[in-house]
Amino acid sequence: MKINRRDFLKISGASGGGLLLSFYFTGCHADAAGRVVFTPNAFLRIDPSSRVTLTIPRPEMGQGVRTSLAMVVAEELDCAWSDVAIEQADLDPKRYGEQYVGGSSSMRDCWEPLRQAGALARRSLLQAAAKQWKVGMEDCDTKSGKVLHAKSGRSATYGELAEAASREKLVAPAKPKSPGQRKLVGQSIRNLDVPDIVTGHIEFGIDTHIEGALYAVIARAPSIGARLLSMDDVKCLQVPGVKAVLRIDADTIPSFGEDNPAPANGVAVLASHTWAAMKGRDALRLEWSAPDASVSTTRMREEAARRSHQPAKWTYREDGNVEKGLQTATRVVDAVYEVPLLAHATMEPMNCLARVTRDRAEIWAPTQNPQAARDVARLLTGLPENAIVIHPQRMGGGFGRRFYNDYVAEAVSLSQKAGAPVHVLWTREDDMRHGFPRPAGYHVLRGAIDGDGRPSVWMHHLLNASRGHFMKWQAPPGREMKPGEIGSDDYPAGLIPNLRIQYTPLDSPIPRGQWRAVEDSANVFVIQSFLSELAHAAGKDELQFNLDLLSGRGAIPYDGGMYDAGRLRHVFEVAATKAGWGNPLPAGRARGIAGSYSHGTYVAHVAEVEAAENEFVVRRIVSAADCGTIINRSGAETQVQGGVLFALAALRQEITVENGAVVQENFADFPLLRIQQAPEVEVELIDNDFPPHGMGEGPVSPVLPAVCNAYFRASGVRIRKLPFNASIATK
Amino acid sequence: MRLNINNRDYEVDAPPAMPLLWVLRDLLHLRGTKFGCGRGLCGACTVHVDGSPIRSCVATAGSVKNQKITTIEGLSGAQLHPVQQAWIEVDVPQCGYCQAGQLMTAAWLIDNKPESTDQEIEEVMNGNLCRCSTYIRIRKAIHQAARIARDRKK
Repeated sequence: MKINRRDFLKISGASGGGLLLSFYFTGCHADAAGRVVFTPNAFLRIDPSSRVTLTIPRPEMGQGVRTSLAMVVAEELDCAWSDVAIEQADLDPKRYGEQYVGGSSSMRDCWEPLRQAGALARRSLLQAAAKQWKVGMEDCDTKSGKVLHAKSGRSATYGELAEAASREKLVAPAKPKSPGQRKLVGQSIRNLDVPDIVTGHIEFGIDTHIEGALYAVIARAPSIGARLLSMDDVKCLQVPGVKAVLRIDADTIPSFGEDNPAPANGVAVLASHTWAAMKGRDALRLEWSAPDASVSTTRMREEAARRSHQPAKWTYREDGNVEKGLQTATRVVDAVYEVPLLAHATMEPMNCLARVTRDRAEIWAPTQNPQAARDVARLLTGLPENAIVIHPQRMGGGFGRRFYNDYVAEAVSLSQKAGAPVHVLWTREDDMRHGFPRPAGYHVLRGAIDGDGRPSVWMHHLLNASRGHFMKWQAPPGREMKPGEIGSDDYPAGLIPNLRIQYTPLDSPIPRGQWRAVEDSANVFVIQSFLSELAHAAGKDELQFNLDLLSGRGAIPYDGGMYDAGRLRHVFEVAATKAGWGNPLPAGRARGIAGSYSHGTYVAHVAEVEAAENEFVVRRIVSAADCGTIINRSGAETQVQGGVLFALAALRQEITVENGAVVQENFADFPLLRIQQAPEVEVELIDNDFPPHGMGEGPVSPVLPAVCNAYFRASGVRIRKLPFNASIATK
Repeated sequence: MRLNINNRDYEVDAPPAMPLLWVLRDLLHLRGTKFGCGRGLCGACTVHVDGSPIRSCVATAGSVKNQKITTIEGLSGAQLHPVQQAWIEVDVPQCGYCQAGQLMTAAWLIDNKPESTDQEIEEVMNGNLCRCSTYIRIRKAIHQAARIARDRKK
């Protein structure tokens, strides 16, 4: 990134002495005149005591971004890690640029600008010291928060130099450290928030509270689109602690636009504490319109099956000649794969605290998209942006659910009506029933093997109700809206000569949205499983079949950019070697392999599975993961392990809709993986100097195909429909 | 009613049927104990009553009023409990929401059954769910905590 504007960086004195550095991240974009515009998005403060305070612009949901972003700055600044403190930024896109979290984008976006900021701050300290000591800057160096002049033995701490450094003029860019010079980045660094977590002091959105706030629990429409017909709140208002009953009428809520779904119709009970609100809700007598029995996942699936025999609505890609390829094939394989809706099931249920007055709205939102939260508040209150304050809160899990601000709309709307601060809390049942689950999918696959045992034809037709249609995505001007469920570059496009990718959208009012790894979470399962089917049809080893596919290939166009076939091959090879692929296994046990490029990261898994009666025994999972430059080694490893186990849980999960309503309500019918079911996950992190990407999503998608491919080898049973309802064991 | 929490007596005005979880969070502002499911299915709400782990989202205030209650805020004494120290050393949490519950259950294990086998550890911990799925490090940290506890006794 070329930095050629002097106002990239602004240094000033901090109140109380010290240095206040405002610098510019990621938000460099071109303005209407095509000029590069830098927007400031972080503050680095060095106190006279040498304490370094970094404001983190992106909210935390367990991906470790608070620590990893701090590490990048601290590395280039060359301060002592023990001097670093972090603060969470409020929403201020003019200052911080993008502040959403999702798509594994934080490190990818912030890496370069953060390095620059740290390096420039370090330079200002060197300049200040050199001036003070009247020596050449080239004779000074830094080490752990001190500037040193070797020749004379002089040194000064950053704290001592900070104020002088704040008066230095700086010209960007600075040269960041080379990989060999790094002391922090690439190491295993303990997450900065752990001491607060283990002592119970860490605060999540659900824990925020202000004086006078009412707790609100909402009785929402019991079926999709149901309307309130009548309400009797007499008994409810008699429950001790209940203060008010207010309606949430979706019809009166303005449309929030793309990716900003409105909340469901509901009746809110506001009380002085949560339990009273829950008891009050139980005491409501509500009559709702009848459920729409035609709205069900069973019917959606039947519709998909029926439509799959008709021509696809859209052909996204047509390579070579699939008909000719099929005619000359040695083997043709047909398969239908089905995947269900999946809930996010964050441990912390949805909630939000809002204080809305006539002049101001202040919102404590555990949200992945604080910018959209402000849009919601602006549309509901009519207040200007500068009268709306968003405090993004730590989230007890996001996984994509918290990208949608329906719970913010509820809190803002209720606070506005109640004339008091309101903290909306969802119960687990509310959360399970009123989410935006990962879309279901009906996948029709046809593939062929030629006379040389190579895959010669690949046809993939996906039919589903997309998240794009539900979330009101708009088409770019003059173009058709692609709802994002499958892409024209999806694997193995570019690798098989005769290839067709098609999509047919289905209509449904069932809510759906983005889940961890988004469409890859479904499509990679289908694609990597079907490749295994083709390998089997060709009589070839699954690993070799995958490696041959990528053999000799370099950059493959993908999603407006590219991925590196060599790096994808490499993770297959590393996982296979580490797992001992090809070594004999006891009877009944087998290995499966799958890999993908997803969200900037290359990951392959080898699973060792035993097929037992009614039991799916996962003996071992070996993962190779390449996210480019590794920032926090401990963080990267735990994201791979956590992502693998998160994905494994989906083997047995589904959200179904019957008679217009979500069936599942709590962890008994949407089971999370338990510790007894968690296999060891051996992780090999690939070390290289490619630009860093996130590790939150990459590991997720190849897990299910790896375990299901192994299950096939062990049992002869091909799992094409999820969930697979055998219990999961590890021994 | 009077509740004894973390060695302190609190006078609370709560209906006896109110779950202890909400007394802790909303009336006493002890928010370290978390709400996850409301049905005792996930373990996020785990506290100790007379030294044993219970699910505070289903245990009523009335049922514990004559007992000693310990929450995550009271787990450390003069120093961190071995599980807290181990959790830091092993870098266990991701989002952290379930971890208070995990720690309370693990603390009971270390204090009462430090010689547990892996199978016994998992049986005890199996009721504490983690969506981020930090189970691999939880296992490691429990072993580490047992080592720390043994070393402290020396």
